[in-house]
Amino acid sequence: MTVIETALAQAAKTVPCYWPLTSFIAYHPLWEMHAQDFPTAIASLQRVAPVEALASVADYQAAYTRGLITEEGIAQACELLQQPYHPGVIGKQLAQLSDKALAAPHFPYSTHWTVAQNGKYADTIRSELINFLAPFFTSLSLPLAPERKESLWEAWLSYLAVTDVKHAQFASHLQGSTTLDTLVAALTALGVAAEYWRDYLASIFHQVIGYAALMKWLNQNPQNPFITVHAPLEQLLAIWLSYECFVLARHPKFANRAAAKPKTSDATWPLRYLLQCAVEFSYQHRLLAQLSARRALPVAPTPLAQWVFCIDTRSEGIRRHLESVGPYQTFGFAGFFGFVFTLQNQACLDQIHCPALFGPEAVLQVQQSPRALRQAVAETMQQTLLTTQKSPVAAWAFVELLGVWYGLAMFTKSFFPRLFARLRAWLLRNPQEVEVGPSVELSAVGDQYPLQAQVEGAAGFLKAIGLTEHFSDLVVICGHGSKTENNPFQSSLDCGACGGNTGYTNAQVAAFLLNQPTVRAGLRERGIVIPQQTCFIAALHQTTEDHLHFDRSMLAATHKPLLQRVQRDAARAGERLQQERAHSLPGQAPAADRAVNWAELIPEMALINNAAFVIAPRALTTGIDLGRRTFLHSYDPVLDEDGQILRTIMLGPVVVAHWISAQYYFSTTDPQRYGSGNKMLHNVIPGVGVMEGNLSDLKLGLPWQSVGFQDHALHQPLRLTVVVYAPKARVDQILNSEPQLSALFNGQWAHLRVLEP
Amino acid sequence: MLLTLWLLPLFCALVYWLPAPKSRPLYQVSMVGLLAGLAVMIYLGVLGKYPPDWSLTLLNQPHWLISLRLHVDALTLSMLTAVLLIGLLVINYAQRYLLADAHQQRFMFWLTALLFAVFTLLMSGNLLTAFIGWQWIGFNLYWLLNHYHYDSDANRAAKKKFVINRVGDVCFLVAVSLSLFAYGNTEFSSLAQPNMPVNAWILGLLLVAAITKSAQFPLHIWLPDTLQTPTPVSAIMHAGVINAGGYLIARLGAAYLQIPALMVVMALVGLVTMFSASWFMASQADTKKRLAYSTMSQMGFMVLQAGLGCFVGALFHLIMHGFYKAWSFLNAGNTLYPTTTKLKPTKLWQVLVALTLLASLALFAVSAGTLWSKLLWQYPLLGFFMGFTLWQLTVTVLRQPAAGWVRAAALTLFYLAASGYGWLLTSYQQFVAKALPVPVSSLSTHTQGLVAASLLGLMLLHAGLMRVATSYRQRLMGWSLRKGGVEQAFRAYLLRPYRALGDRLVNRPKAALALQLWFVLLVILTLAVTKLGLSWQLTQWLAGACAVSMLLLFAAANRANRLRDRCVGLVLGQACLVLITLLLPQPVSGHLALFQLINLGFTGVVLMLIFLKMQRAERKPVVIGNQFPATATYFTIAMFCLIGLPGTSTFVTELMVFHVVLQAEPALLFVLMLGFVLLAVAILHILQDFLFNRRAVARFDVPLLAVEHVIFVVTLGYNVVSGLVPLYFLF
Repeated sequence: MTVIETALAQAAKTVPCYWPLTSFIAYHPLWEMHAQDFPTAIASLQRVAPVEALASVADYQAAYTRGLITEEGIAQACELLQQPYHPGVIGKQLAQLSDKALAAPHFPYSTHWTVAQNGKYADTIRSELINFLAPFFTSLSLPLAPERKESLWEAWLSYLAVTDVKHAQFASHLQGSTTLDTLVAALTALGVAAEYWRDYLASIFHQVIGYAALMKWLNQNPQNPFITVHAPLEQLLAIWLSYECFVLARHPKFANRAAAKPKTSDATWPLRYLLQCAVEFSYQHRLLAQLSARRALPVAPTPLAQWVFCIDTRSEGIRRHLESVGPYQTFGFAGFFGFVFTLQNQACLDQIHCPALFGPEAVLQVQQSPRALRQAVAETMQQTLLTTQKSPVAAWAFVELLGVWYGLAMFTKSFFPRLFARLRAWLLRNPQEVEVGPSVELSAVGDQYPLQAQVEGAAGFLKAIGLTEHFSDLVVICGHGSKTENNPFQSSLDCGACGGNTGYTNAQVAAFLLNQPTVRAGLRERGIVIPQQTCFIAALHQTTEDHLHFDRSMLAATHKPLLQRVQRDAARAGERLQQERAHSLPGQAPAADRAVNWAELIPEMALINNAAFVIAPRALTTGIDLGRRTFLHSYDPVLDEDGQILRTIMLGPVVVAHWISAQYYFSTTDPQRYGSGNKMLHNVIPGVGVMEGNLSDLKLGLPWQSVGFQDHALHQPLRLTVVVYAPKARVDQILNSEPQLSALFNGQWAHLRVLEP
Repeated sequence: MLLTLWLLPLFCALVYWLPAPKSRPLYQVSMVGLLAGLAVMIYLGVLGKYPPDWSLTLLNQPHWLISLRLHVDALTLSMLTAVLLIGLLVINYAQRYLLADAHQQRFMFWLTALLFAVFTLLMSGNLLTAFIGWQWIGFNLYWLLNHYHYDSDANRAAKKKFVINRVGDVCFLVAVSLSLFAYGNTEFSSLAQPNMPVNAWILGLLLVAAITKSAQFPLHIWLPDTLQTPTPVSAIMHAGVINAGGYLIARLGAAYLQIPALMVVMALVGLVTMFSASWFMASQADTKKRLAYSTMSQMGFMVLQAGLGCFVGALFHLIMHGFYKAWSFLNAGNTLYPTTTKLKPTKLWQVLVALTLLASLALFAVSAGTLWSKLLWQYPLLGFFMGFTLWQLTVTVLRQPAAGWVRAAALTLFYLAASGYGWLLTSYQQFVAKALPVPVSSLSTHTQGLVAASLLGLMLLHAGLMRVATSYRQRLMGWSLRKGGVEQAFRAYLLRPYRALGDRLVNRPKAALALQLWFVLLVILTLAVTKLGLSWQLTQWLAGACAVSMLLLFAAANRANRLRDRCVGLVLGQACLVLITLLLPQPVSGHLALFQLINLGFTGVVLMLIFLKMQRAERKPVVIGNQFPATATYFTIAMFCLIGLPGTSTFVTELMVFHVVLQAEPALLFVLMLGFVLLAVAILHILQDFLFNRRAVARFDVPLLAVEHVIFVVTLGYNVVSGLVPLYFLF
């Protein structure tokens, strides 16, 4: 590899990977840096951008006063960081510390202009660039937007040709035979020494981190259904550098400014890092104490029904309450339930129902429910309105002609949001669709998966959760999804394992296949005997109001009374969970209103305060209130002699949960860079994401309203603690054979605790 | 009755400052108050009887009368109802939307206070009252756009909006002075007198004001930047506030009809704006900026309607557009997913069906003889656009991928809605009939027909060229992407030279010293001239020198490095104004100079106290977030007292100076207008540099003693009182 290739590859590692907001998937912003350990990675990142990776001093002080940092935790943290421990000293040091919030930004290389002109030129270049990038990536078809040529660079040249002719000429002179040549030419012209290239390029990425992250995703997923343009990351650099060179050519007086030496990062870091570890260890102590002091409820010998939920932390709450209202047994598995697919819908974009780690295996269709006349007419009218109001000439008289109807709609939607939601549902969709979203056309599922895959998927699913015998008559597979209105971040509230969509369709597919006689026959060959009378059905846990909806289409007629009982209990459990959650949500609005109110910015808090991932049979955690902070994956060490199941869990769900946890973590510690800032300012770019206000970079991560309230964080940023209930030797074996995983735990990105059975 | 209605939003706004730990009930009080106001309005509208005017005479001189007047008629009532309705919806929305904002109360106060300012404009019975409302709207919006005052983007947008609007405001103020000068009063009715050449000036200046307020090309550049603020502000601004220009034009409709040239200018501005904005919109990707340009384009259509003399259409458009745009902004979070289906290609029979339907609708309208049909015939240009929309609706429905009878049903419903529109417009026209002049077209039906035909031709040509000629498309694209190049030109030819001038004055010690010495010389000369009574010509030259020095001082105050230097520049510039008044020997000028000197002195005291406070306070580098410290509030009020917000003493001075200059030396008028705009520029720049950013605002966070609070309140209060009841102090 040449020097520039190495520098580019290294610099690209500092860029997160960002899925478009239509399919929001939690991603660890520093995932590709996890070969280094946490402090080293942060330090190397802080050389190029003012990244904040720890909570503020005030937060630690508050945690200390509230007793969330114990002396025991501090002692353990000191041991980890190889510092001497003296009881009480850290507490005193903490009390004397204050936030150096106004410290000068300590990033040295961030282009000549940032240094020379106090960020003025970098700001100018950024806004010029964003002006071009937003229309380039959006899914809107704009008549006067820059053309999408073969690649980003070409499109940018043709954009320049109509907006800034001088710069266009300059850029075509600068252009080399390849983009890398252009980069080298520009870097040489700017006088950046080759040893600094990596940092220089990385700092450019961090100037437009949002679009860089989107382009990284685009390059990894060129076949995605959302954005179909060619935009390699190095072209973004080439464009930025071209701006820099162009400014330099016109203002040569900046040329002599050498890149400054990196300043040391702020002095509070060592203590804050120690406290961060201490907070996490303190939490672990509490969790492990809870687990070891468990008082297992007497599990009913034959549960009334068995439930499989997503590992999502919100499922912990509903599982706990379900078990408390009736004789139920619950399991946890990643929300795609063993079957991944692309869901095609005529009316809108394809949805990819699969976790970020692998691709879909089948293409399924949405079930087209028959429409009433009013629905067809309303649909036609709505589509006509959408088209006509976009038409430039028709729009003028259009608002005059039909404005009064918008006034009426606005009045109803403001003062009677629930009535409006019901009316719109009545007019546009079937009630079933409104409550649970689209359903899968199940008749075609069998053709899409070969029988072998069906049986393997089903067997893997059942074995992983340890449900291979003692089936009850009814097994409910329950996905989850949210209900929210006027919220571009809706998909961040849905199931991440289903690609930011609801998990209902995946549950449907799993339940359907598990009911198939052919599949059951195949399972029998593998030693899993599902009794004749066992029936699998799909359900949806709607997490905003905590309602459970059941798909009755697969229900055997004999099971109807049973389902009625189950439904009653589910409603009670949902109510209890709702009461429990209501305390922790800001504001007093009832959940039913939050779900439909268009002014609501906090419909629910999703996976807030997630902190641990427990891989264990449910018996270990039954009856303990884990406060909706843990991912729970069912696992029976007895059924997994060779450790294959554990290996799959560690490589799949644990990594995804780690991403989720990291996203919450960094959205809290650095809400402007890795979080998407203030939701009140969000300005949607259709098909891509949001920006803040009239011109800003594309925003990554979660909005502040998802992790905090007013001026304080509600999410306690903790790195994920993974608790495994398995023989230590088995875990060690897996870690030894998977360097990626061991890097995660050894590099302080996450913690691992093993409980011996 | 009228007074209560007018002050209602103010009370509702003040409610938010009542101390209450749990502020939810307070919000309800405010909402109930506004709802009661809405009920009263609907009651008045149904009854058809309007309360008598309320007026307050501020000054009654032999030749002129300054008074405030509140007036309600059908026109006012219809606009008030629409604004209050939209305001209520937005306030209701904001209560939930800003829950996660620690400073929601401050936001809600300014939002409701904005309604009060709009009420003042809508209920105004004369130009002076209208101006007061007009300027308060700008002031309120400045605060709303500055809600995140530490965010430099938000502040830059707010400043830009205020400055560009200030150009219009100063024009408005001159129009008020002209009216006082020519008629001795500021009544709307005086402007409608025929054959008065001064009316052309007054109405022309008011037209400039309306153009800035309603974001017409080329003074639109502030509009797309104003999105750095919570969504409800955008909703109320684009649905309610931006209509102020249109309302003013319609209110003065009878007067504008007297001056056809202005009507033609209006129509042209509207046409240019509506097309250019729709092109700008076609180059933007993000929802809110697209909506902003859509507003601009719609305002262009409204101004076109007014320019053709169809004021009822313009007003109706304003209200309907308000509903549509408020909905669009509040619903902006729903636009992430592309939703439109693919349309089938157009077929010949569909074109024929659409033509037949349109023709039959036109025939029906004519035979029904409604106002709607009259309007369409009298204003073929508007009929053309309405026809185009119906055409588009029809063809789009026919091209939908749905069953035939579904499309037929949808089409029927759309046509029913269209006839409903005709009925609604007719009823509206009947409702406001008395308050609005009879529609008379400025362009004859014949001309309009020609314009419509050529527009159709041009549009077809445009559509064809867009498909065929790449270079045409590229050029139009480049122009739209640069947003017409207005901003670049404005920066290159006005802003940069002005700043360079300021820099020269400030950065060279000799220049600064010379400026100060020159000022002292001016003072001495002025005193000498007034004492000795030298020749009138010399006095004129001296007054001119003072005016130019004022400009230079403001230019310097705009660029100085230290806050204190800037304030010195401002105060000296204002002192030049006093000198000018002294030099122009009018009966009021002596009083006026004294009045301004006293007030200037008080403001200076406030500023000095604040500086002292800040200097003594220890520098603590803390971030105070979105709080706004008390000292900063006093500082801002002092600054706005200097700008000349209605209700402060400088406003009185500005009005009177214009009056004096008009009588003595009209040539100075333009210099003074420029001076007042530059004054606002300098002051807003001070606020931007020294107050509205995270680092600076913390410096204002110094504890104040109770006695200091009293001093600040009394001094600033004196200024405000002398601005509100000025003339008792003057004479």
